[in-house]
Amino acid sequence: MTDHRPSPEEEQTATNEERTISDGRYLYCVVDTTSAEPATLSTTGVDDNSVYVVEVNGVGAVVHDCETVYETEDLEQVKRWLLTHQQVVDAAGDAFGTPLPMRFDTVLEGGDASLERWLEGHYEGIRDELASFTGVWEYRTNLLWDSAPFEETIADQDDQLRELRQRKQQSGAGKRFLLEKQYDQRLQELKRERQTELAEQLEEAITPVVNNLTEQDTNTPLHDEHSSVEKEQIVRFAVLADEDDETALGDRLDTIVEHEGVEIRFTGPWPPYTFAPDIGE
Amino acid sequence: MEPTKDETHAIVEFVDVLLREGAVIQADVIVTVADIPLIGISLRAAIAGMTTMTDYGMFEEWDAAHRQRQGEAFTTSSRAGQREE
Repeated sequence: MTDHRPSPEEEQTATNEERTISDGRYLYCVVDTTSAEPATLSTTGVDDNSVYVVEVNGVGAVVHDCETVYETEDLEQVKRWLLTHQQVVDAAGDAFGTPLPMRFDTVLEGGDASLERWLEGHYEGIRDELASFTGVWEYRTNLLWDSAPFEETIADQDDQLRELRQRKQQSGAGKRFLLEKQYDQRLQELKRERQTELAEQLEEAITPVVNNLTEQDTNTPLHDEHSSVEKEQIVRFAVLADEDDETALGDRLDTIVEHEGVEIRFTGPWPPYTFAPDIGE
Repeated sequence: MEPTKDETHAIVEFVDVLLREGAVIQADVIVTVADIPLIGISLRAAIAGMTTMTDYGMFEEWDAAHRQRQGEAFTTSSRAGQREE
């Protein structure tokens, strides 16, 4: 069940009563309804609500009626909501083609009339965005690297590292400590160069088969506790690609994975969350 | 290689994306757009810590739906999805 709690802003001004919404519409995404009848989308959404489409001139808002903001501190609940939300967007994509996806928990007040006014007010922009996404989906690639094989190989191949190793063997404890630091610095430098090389190779490999590409931040708190090997994230890309190019994209990723220690995580097809524009006034 | 949506890393990433990306609407009639970064971080950690994909019935459904989609050679089609709680 939904856990009703006021948001931080509302707590400042409101009483302890629940924040209710007047004739709310929870908005999942906007779709091109010229490709299929709106009634073909019949599914259940967040919090067991019925999902339907409000249409204006070939552009449709995929919604459910809601009376409340979806907020909770229960992580399990949020997880279920998020998964359900995406299942609705996936179903909309199946029915109508690539949708314009909203951020989670986007709710409009004022019923179908308000929704229609909003669609009409931003009609051209929305329709153009939908047209640009036709037949196109977002894919995401994450380049990971276990550097151990590289470190082993480069130890013999790099002149500086070889020399430092030889000098270490011939040195006393104090000198050895300094030489180890130098060794480490040189190794880090070589690793960085190699990482840059791999990232560039990946970008070059996939650019010809995608319509748009954006590099994403690798500094997220995400980490994979299932992996027994320490892997570093080298680079992440989100791309927009024709659905017909999905195989070619995967094939090109395979050429990068042939390098030692490299892993590529390839996810999709997704609605274009990363490329969805904000829709303002 | 083929893209996936089923594996834990894909779901962890997707949680992040759904909470932080997607179109944001600026309008008087907008009541809320979730901006819950703290929950996002805890949630991502919680999902990453799950030992199996089938900890919840939700994931089985998710998994099945995506495998079916892959089998359908990815065409747009009228599809009424039914979700059971």
